[in-house]
Amino acid sequence: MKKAILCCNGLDKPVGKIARKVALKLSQLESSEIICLVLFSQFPNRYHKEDYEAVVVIDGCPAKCATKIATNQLGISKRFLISELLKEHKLQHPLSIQSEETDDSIVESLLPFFEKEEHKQERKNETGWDAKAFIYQILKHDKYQFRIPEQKDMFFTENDTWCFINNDIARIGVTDYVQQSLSDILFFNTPEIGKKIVQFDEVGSIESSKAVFEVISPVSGTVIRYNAELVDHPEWINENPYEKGWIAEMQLTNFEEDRMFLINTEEYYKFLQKKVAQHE
Amino acid sequence: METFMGVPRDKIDWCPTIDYKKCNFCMECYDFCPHDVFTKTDEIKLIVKNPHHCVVFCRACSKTCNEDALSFPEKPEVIEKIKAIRKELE
Repeated sequence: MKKAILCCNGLDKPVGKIARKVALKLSQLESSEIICLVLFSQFPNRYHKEDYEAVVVIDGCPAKCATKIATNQLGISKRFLISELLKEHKLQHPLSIQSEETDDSIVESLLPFFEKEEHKQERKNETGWDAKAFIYQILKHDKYQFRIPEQKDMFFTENDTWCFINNDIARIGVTDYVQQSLSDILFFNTPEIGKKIVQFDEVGSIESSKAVFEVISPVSGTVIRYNAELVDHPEWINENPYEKGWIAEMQLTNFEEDRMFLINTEEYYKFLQKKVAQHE
Repeated sequence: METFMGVPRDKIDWCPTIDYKKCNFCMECYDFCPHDVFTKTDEIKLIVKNPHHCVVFCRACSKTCNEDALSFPEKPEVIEKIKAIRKELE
């Protein structure tokens, strides 16, 4: 079993060129095989997912051609997006598709992010806080049905996220409206453990073939845990975004202030009713 | 009247800004946004027509932009402003 890298072919944009150069460098350092994007898209049977212990996908720009081609055909172990890495870490952008002047230094500055070990997290709920079975109100609209938990200590935002408060910890997630709008969720991009965030900041994101949805945090606090099972089973968010499809847990810092911007089940029901009616 | 968290939507400064030096008018954002925020025009091809239709804190259109031509205001500043307006309205 070997590792493989599938990357942007790097002929259209400077960030794509960097993706290709990073992939070549990594394949050399880790002795992994490079999967040819064009060959794979034309002859998918040339590569078999059983042959690889891990497949790393490196996209250049948000078009994410490599991800799109690999999804459902190769088991993706990890994904990187060069344009986002450069932005996030405030690194220099490549000059142009032709000029190679700054490429080597950009590749060198990116390599540590590929070698960094993932946050280690036990794949079980250390709190003993098992997925709770809620009672739901159902909002019907045409062929759609939206579940909204009817639960004390559960609150919502107008960005279609929820939080369930248990003492000073909040479990958070997205609502049924989000999962139905996105349809089949293919990826869960995990938030960083230990990160302090303010209310309405992003706590990871989820992605379908339609769109990327930034999970807007209903509360301020520190990310203490995420639902690691979703990395392998993002479809759980579609199955039930309130129970086994929860996103993360946060240590609360100032819930009283957060509460001012949260709405309860009844208020969210009315808000959603209006929202779906407007989209007709 | 449209509101976000009890604040009139038109008082909240949240919508995409198009960087015309980067935009290649591929129209991915226009095709993606279901809220009619963007429109096509004869003169400059693409503009932000309905800034207040934009869902506050949503940046999903920028994730479709291969040229990184869409930017949004800083969230903490917008949150502070919303909080201040809420206090005024109380």
